[in-house]
Amino acid sequence: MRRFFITAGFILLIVACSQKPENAFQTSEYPSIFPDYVNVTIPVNIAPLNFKLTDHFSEIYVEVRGKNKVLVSESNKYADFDKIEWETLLESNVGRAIGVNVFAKSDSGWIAFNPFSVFVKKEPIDPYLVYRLIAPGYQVWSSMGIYQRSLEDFRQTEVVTNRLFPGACMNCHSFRERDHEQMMFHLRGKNGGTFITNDSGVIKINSKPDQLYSGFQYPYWHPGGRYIAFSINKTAQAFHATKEKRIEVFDSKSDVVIYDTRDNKVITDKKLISKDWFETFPTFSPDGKYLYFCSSKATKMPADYQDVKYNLCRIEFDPATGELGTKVDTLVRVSDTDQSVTFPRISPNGKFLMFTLADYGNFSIWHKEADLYLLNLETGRYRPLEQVNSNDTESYHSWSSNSNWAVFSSRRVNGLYTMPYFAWIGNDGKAGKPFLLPQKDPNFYLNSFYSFNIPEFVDDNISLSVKEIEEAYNMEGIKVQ
Amino acid sequence: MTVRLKMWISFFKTYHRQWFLLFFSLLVIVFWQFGYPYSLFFQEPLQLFLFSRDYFFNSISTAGGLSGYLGEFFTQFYIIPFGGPVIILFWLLSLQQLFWKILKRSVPGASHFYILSFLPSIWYCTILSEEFYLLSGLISVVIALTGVLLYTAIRDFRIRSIVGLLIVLLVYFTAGGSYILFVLFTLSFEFVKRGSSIGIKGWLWSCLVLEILLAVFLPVIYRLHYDPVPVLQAYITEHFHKISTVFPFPVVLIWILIAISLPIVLYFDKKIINRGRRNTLYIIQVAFLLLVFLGGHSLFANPKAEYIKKLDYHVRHNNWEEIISLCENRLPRNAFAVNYLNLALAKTNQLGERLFHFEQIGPVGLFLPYEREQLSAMIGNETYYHIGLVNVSQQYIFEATEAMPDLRKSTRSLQRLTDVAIINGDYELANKYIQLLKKTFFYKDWAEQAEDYLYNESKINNHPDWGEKRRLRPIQDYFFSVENMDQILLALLRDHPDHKMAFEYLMSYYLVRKDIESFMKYVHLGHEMNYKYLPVAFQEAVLYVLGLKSQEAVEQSNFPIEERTKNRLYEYVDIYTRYPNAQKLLEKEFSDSFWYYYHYR
Repeated sequence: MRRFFITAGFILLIVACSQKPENAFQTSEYPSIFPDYVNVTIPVNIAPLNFKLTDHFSEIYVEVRGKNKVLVSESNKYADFDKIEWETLLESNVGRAIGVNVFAKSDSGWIAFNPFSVFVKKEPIDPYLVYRLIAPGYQVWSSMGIYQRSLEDFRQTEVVTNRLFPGACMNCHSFRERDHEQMMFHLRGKNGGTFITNDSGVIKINSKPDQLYSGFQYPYWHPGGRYIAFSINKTAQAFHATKEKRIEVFDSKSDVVIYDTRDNKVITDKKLISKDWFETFPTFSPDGKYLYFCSSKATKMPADYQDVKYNLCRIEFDPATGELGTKVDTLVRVSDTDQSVTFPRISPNGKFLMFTLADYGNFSIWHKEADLYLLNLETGRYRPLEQVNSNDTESYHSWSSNSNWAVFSSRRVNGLYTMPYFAWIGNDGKAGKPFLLPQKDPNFYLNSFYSFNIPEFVDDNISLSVKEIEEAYNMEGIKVQ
Repeated sequence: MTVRLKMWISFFKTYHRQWFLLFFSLLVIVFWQFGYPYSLFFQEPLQLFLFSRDYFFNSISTAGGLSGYLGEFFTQFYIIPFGGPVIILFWLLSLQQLFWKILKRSVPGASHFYILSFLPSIWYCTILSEEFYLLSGLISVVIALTGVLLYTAIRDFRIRSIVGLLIVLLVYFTAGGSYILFVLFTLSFEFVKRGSSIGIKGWLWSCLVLEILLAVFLPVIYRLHYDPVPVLQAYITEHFHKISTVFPFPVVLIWILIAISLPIVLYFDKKIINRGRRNTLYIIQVAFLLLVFLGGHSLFANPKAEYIKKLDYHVRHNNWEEIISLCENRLPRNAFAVNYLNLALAKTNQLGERLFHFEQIGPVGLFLPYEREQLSAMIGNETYYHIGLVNVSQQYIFEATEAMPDLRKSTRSLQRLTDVAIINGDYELANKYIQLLKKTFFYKDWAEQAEDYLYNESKINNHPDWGEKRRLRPIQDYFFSVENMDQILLALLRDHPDHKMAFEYLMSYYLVRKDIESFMKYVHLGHEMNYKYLPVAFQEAVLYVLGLKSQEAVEQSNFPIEERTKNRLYEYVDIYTRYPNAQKLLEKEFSDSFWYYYHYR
């Protein structure tokens, strides 16, 4: 009955508000739209793909045709679909393509563009995405914070921001296997530390053990939840003079350690702490038995910054004892790539490892040539994700819990402001055309001054209260042993 | 006393309120238009007020957001000459008129305290001369006083006490922290009116208690459940001072003053008016206002900063000769001012000629290091931009934006970021900034013109500014470091051997550092610049080195040096070597020479 009323209301709305243009001039071209949703592959539970035409037209008419259903945009300025109708449309078209017809009114009359398809996959995407919003600046930041966004609609809410802690910087949020209740992030500045949420609330640890030269940096939770692997880095920045590049971020020292949350101690191993090698970006395998990381021969920095190229390595890990194996395997070698591996991330089904490959260094977000690659862990072969990559930067990425979706940050829209894209990854490792995180108003990205940093899927809404965070903030950080 | 004078006094007495209003208006206009106009011109581009629905709703969605929105709306008109003073006057007069109406309504004998009604306005006028205090704070006070006016207009105490609660909510969400003023005033008002026919009676006093509880807990609820902000910010809100963590004590003083004005007026009314000492009261009030004005001026206004803002204004408008002229009248000593002066000299091809005609303060006077704060980054970007180091300019202006104390964006930085994006051919990025600027009132035309250039290479190459910067940009890549500016400039000269500005900056850099060796090593790069004679400061430096060898070396030099400079050298050397008090003797004729700088600065 409810559906009947909704449908009836919807039809009335169409009759009242929009009339499909007649005698439109048919063109064979696809419409030029932003975000580019032409022929993309989407999950069944994604929010409406609202978009706008990039050229100026006085009016537009957009309809989406699926099995037994036609959905018409509620606005004639940009494509804006009713959320409930959109859901119904996608649900009744799983495994199929829906067609999008775009009409635009120009001075000489209506134009009908070549309809494009959107492929709907039945495999859903995780319901929330967590990211940090920060301006893509150099050394200072103004407003910034960690936010969560429902992928099934357009709601974005704060997790923690520096509006609450003026001047502070928060980064490196990470979750145990996308669990919204087990989260960690670093908060830099006065009363800073590493904040970890667990069953008893939020705790703060002083994550700079005396014997280490830096505090904990890039994290990765062990699937069991007891351990978090961290890199420790001595990082610096330099600024390029020419237009091709802006910033060079580099480590003059880096190693990997493992933090045992149960015993509040740091596990170190000579194979991960070495003067002759820079180790960074630790990642546990989904079964928890391996620790993957990137490793480069140490060089004189910043003089030889272009010679720093990271291999992809792994070492066995015993979760029961917290001990590392004796042998380090190299899966992707600099001698083969002559490039640098960053951000190894393994699909939850253990089948693939996605990584970023750039010409050198480890801060791939500032490398226009950085692209995503997929390593088949069964065959050991890797290849670029050509369907996913662009002429601009692709960098940080993570997997959905069903291993079918990857979210990655890309600078393809304007070369500076990083935006989150989602790509379908089939069981055979083939990717679909990625799509940009939809927004209610497609002008959202044009008006935004922020980059989307470290996009991570989570399984539910994070509900940290102001009181909890403030209490942790004001407590003395627990000293790591 | 003559008849004429008596007539004037009578005329003044009859229209004394109008006279005071006129005098106050003149004072405000003169203060801003002739005292601190550049402070207003400086403030205006440091915000990005957008005419868009989203911007409006985002702005008003926080406590005090409406006053913030209105503050920004009116601040954008500071760009117009006289615009700022007139707008400030409008809001100050609104404050005074509201305060006066409230006083008059609340206290029977208030007519003798008309002069006092100017006190908050005079104080706020001076507060605003401190650039971090925002117009939105003044508007916030005006909104709160409008609430007070409404509250005091309600004669029925039953309705008034209920409406009071609603006004607290309304004022908090529209005007922010000034809701405290409203609450304090209502308490004061009800205290004064107790026992009168309109005074609160019986259990309705509990409404006042509720009002206090609301005032205490509303911000707590707000921050815990709506907008997570620190405790201070939840109470005071962010629209008074650009730095949200700063307690705006001068504004809080106004809240308190307005609230306690009722019992004070009552007290003095009984003590003084009833004893017939009205003239004393008027004199005290006028004296107090003067004292407050002078005190506020000395506390908040900054004439030195006004000088730099004036230079900044002319830099933004490329009025290079005006800058030099200003510096001739008042020697710049501050690093920002010296930077702007040297840039103006360079832009008018006078850097090498007149470098030492002004007091130099070392390399920092040529290139500002980045200090992780807004001002040095914003001012510093100008030199790098004009010399062609557009990526450095971009870095500085981006950082200046991020270091804005109010955490907002600015049209000034957006324009410069657009400049650099167009020069670098990053058209999508430029378009992003242009589309935002198109939503402003005063930068729309500029943005639309810039839009016409996107993707049009030949048009950009022929643009007098963007085309020039494209030609001057570095070709070879290296890491920028302000500590090694000479290496940066040398690299720029390797890319563009005829880059006169880079050459003169490089030579000036060595000279202000007294690095004669490096100067002599690279002065030959000037051959590419087609000088008839080397710029005078460089001639002096070359002659100094040659003079140390022998007079023959000076005379037989291959450098393009004027006879006049040689003769001046001989004269200088003569005094320098013969007299123990040479510095004093040389000061008059040679303080504008490199030699004097080298020996005595």
